[in-house]
Order: sequence, then C-alpha cells, then structure tokens
Amino acid sequence: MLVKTLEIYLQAYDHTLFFTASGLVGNGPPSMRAGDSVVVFDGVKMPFIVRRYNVRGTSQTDYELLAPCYVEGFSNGEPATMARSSLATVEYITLF
Amino acid sequence: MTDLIRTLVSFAQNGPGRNDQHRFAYTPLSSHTRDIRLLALEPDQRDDTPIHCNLCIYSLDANPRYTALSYVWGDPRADSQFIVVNGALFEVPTSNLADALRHLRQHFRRSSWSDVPSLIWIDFICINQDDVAERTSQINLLPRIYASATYMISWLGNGDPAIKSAIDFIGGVAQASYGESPKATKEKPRIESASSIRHTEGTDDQEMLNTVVDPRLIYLFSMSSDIPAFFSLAYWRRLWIVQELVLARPNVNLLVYGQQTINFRDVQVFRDAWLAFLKQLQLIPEWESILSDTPGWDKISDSWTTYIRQMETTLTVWSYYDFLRGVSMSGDSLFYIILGGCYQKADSRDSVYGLLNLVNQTKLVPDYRLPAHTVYTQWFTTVLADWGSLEPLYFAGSSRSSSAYLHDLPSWVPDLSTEMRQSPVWDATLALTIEGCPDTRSFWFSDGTTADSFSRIFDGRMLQIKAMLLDTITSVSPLGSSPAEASRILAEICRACVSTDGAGRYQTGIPILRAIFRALMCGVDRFSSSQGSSATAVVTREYQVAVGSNEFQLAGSMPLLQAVAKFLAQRGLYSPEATNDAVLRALCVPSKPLGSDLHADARLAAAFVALLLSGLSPQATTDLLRDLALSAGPGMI
Repeated sequence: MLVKTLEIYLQAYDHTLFFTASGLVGNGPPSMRAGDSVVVFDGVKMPFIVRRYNVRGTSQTDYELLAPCYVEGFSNGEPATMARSSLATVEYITLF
Repeated sequence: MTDLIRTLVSFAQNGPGRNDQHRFAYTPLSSHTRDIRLLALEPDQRDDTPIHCNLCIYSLDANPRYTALSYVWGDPRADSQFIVVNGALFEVPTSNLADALRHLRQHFRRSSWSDVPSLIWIDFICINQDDVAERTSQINLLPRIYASATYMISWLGNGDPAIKSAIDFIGGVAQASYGESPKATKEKPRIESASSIRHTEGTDDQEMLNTVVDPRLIYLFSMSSDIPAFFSLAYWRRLWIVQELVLARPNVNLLVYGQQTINFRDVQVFRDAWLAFLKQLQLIPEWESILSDTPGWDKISDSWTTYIRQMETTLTVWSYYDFLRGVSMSGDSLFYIILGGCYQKADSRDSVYGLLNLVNQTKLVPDYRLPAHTVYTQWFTTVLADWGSLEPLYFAGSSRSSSAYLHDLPSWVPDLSTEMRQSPVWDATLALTIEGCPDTRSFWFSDGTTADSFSRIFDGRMLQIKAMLLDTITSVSPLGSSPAEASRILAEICRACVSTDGAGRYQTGIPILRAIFRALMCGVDRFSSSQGSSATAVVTREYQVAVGSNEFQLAGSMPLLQAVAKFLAQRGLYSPEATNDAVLRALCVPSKPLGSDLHADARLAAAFVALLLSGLSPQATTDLLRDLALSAGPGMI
C-alpha cells in the first residue's frame, strides 16, 4: 500500500530531481534545466530556481524567477548562516 | 401597455441601434454620495408578458429595504433580450437575467415571499455600464450594497430536472437534520441497525449490528444521484459571485432555481449531514458486498466511486464560501486573490478587481484601462510591501501556471489568469513555514526587516532583491508522469550515485540515497496523515479532512486552500479553533517533517526501495537498504 501511495505521489506532481555543481540534490519545477541557478532570498525559507539572461548590449544580468524548490540540507536557514558569517556572498539581483 | 406596444412596434420596424429614442437613458447619479438605483419589478398575473420595471434612485443612507440579485452574467451577446425600464426599451445581454426577472415576478406573488422586498438591486441594470466613472464609484459601494440588502437572491438558473430533484432532496435532508417534523425523521439519512434486511449466518451479533443496512438507504441513493449537478452549477465557480456570497449574510441568502427556493443555510446543513451520512456508510465493514444483495443496488453500484469522488470535489470548491465568510476581513489581499485563480472569469483583470472589495485596506483602485499584467504587478507590489518579507514569492514564478504564462507578466508576479500548478514544494514550504521552523530569524542574512532594505521595485516591473546565488544546476532528471518511468529514472540516479561515490555520503552526513529520498519527498512525511488505515492512504492531491468527528478525503484544489489557510493562521488572521467549520480546521493539521518520526521514515524509505526493486539486482537492493540505514522486513512494505 505504501508503494501504491508513493506511485500516486509520483503521478500527482511534476517531480524534477536535480544536482548542483557542488553536489547538492533537490526537487524543482519541470521547466528547469542545466545552467539554471539555485538562489536564496533574504528572509525567505525556501530556495528558488532562477534563470540568468544578459541584457542585450550591456554587461548587466537579469534573472527570470522559475519557482521555489527544495534543496536537501537547506531547510533550517543554513544559507543565511553562511551569509552572516561571510562564508557566502550576498548581492542584489534583478528579477524581471 | 399601449406605450409598450408602440415601443415594440417601432423597435420591430427600425431594428436595434437604428432608433435610439425609445432606448432607455440613465439619469446620472450624483457623485460623492451613496446613491444607488433600485429596480421596482411590476407585478403581472401572466407570465408571458414582457417584463416591466421602474428604476429609481435611493440613498443607501436612508436604509431602503431591497433585495440584491446575484447571478451569472453568462456569455454576452449570446442571446440578448429586451425588457421595459421606465417605459423605454432596455437590452439585457443574456437570457439568464431576463429569465431570472420573469421567475422572480412569479415568486413575488407568493405569500411566502411577502417579506422579500420587490425593490431589487441588479448590477447590470442599476449601474450604467457605459459610464466608466459611475461603474468605478459603484463598485466601491458593492460591499455596502450586498451587506445591507434585506435579502440576497442567488439566481441559479432554470430547467434542468436533475437540479430540480437535487434541490428537493437537499431541502428534505436539511429539514430532517433540523429534526423537528415526523416527516423529517422518516427521511433523515442514517443507518438503522435494528431493522435488518439481511440475516447473516455465521457471524456474531456485534458484526451483525455493524453490517445491517436500512433498505431506505437504497432509495436515498437513487434520489441523491443528482446532487453533484447542483454543486457543479456554473454559478458556484464564477469569480464575481464570490464577493457577493461572502458579503451577504447567509441567513437572508435565498437560492432560487426556477420555481424552487432554498436557503443557503439549508445547503450548509445538508452538506454536513450528507458527508456524515456517506462516512457512516464507508465505516460499515464490507458494506459493498452487503449492499450488492439488496434489490436496486445494482443500478447504482457502478457509479458509487465516481459519485463519492464527484461529491468531494464539488463540495470542496463550494466550501470556499464558508472559508471566506469565516476569515477575518482585516486580512491581506493575497489570500482572496490567490484563491480567485480557481474561479472562472470573463476578464483576467477581475482576478484582482473582483475580490478587492473583500479587502479592507488597499491602495488599489480598479482601472480597466490597464492591461492584466500591469494590474497583477500593481497588486503584488502592494502585497510585498505589506507583507514585510518576500515569502509571497512562493506563489510566483513562471513555472507556477498550468498553461502559457500571461504575456508581459514579470516572472516574480503570480499569474492569476489560470489555476496555479500544484507542486510538491508547496507542502514542504507550508510545513516549514508553519511547523518546521522555530526561529524565522535564522533565515535572514541581514538585520533589516523592512521591505525597502531587501527589495526595491523599479520601472514598474523589475524587482531588485537581496539574494545569495548558491549554486549552478548541473543535471536535471524529470521523473515523468508514469510511475514505471519514474521508478526507472530513480533507479538510474541511485545506481549512479552509489557507484561514483564510494563513501555514499551526502554533504550533511546522511547516506546519499537517503538524501535523494528526502529530496523526492521534499523533506515532508506525506504518509503521516494516513496512519492506521491503509485504505485511506493519501498524498498530495487528496487531503484528509474531518467533518465533525468523521474524516474525509477531499480532492482537487485543496492544497491551494490549505496553503491559504495555513498562511492565514501564520499571520494570526484565521484561528482554526474559533471556527465551527471542521473542514477548515482540518486543513490546518500539521504534516510531519521527515526526521521527526524514525519509524514513519523507515516505512517510507522501504516503500521507496520497493519502487526501485524492479530495476535493481538483489545485491543492489541489499546495498540500497544498507545505505538507507534500513533493515526492512517484508511486513514494512
């Protein structure tokens, strides 16, 4: 019965398992693809998948927001801890 | 009457649009007042005569007694009809409204309707639809118009025998549930263990008591097959109806279908009684085999499952009204408007404007000159500013809508033009937002918690936001929609992980396979709600919901409602304990994060392994179990 339930779960949603360059594993939106980025916003619990675009004729980069995602091991504010202890870089990005 | 004939003849000769002198012209409403127009429907003993009425201006401040009409506009131009207003011709765009007026004229003749004012407020007629300024100012008055109506009539339509029979049945059950009249007692749906219809041999008395069904149930079933039709009426799914139903007081809300009338309260009572009744039936052990011996059952047994599912789905959407009536009105526009995505609307801007009246404080003013993407962006900008964090972004993203994303809509604004796509991340988000996270501070990079310090909107469509780019995606494995395919892909991923990484450990120290399993589940134990009963094991699309002391599974767009209920609870705007509605209370039941119950985790992981078994060798299976730290016996799966 558990197997059956797991099957229902797999059928009910779009699941896209992904791996990152540093070996993180997660579950994200169906439209994501290799080259997209995992991003964490200030004060927001779940990470998001974003896609980078270069603004034509400039060196500027804008991002498209795809959807929230789940990243294993990042559910308890670990990225924010890294940011506060300067282990990671925080920057302003622009979503369009 | 002669005036009318002259008018009609003139109209017949000249055709519509060519002769405007007999067309109705509005007297302008004075601006900056609470003036509204009300329609006095002239009585007529015959039903086939044209509809005559008079339109007069009243001030809401004078507390006039009137009836507000709520109805589905329908497809404009499909089938327009003319009525006579103040002696002039008035075109009503759909036959539905003319039909409503014709029936109301009959209802008003009844003595039982003597209390219902025949002065009627009807949006299409009482607001000059060609005057944009008037439309805008009258829309602002809508909350008062609906809230201070003496009665509100919901016109549901006319003519379908299935719906007629459903209304009779609903009325009967509701009356029975009030438990007064002898007739009521007879019709009351319940299982009577005393009146045996089947003498089972070889079973003990206790089981006997549990398995005997009143033959009248069969009659009840055959009577009730029309009920889903009632709850599926287009009326319940229309966006503009939402605010009308929410603003009106339920005890003066009459539902009218052709010649029939039923109170909104009765439908609520029926819903609760009927769900309880269905649940009672489900609780009888082997009820199906017992019923199969009962004369008449064969006619309806096939549709039983379909019927139950249909009931649940339709009742879910219907329950939104209770939900919205129950929540505090001081709330954010976010909830109403996100829910609005489930309703049908003719104009995609209505997703915001159609529900704005339910929000107490808003800086938004309806402006139909703006395109939908601008309307959504303006609305979401105010939401983000009011919220104090960027968490409403969970509802946004170009992957969140089920079909094509609204053209020109910024990706950080939720697409309200279509129903939102469900995602497993929702549940994890909710679990984390509501239950899993004791300290919200741990998610902040910086000390600043005002909206300006972490985000800025410019050019009306760009959101500048404080962020941390964590990592780049290197590989993506969509699992597909078939379990067999998903199982194959999962097995491949697992095999690759085990073979390339000798240690088999994830960054957090857990076995890599366990990490993949947790990622698949998004960190939430989705099986915990089904503890104790394998028959009701549910995930995601179906939710366990309690009505009174009974539990039901509700399907469809429940996760969205749950998301909204939980966010409301989090904001202190909605207290599940304070409401009587058990359906809504059940929505706030927490789901367990993985790791909080080792036994439940193990059962889940064992199921995960079982799903992969087909693609794995015995050695690989043993490795899998080891890596998941499992020693699963056959009983676990």
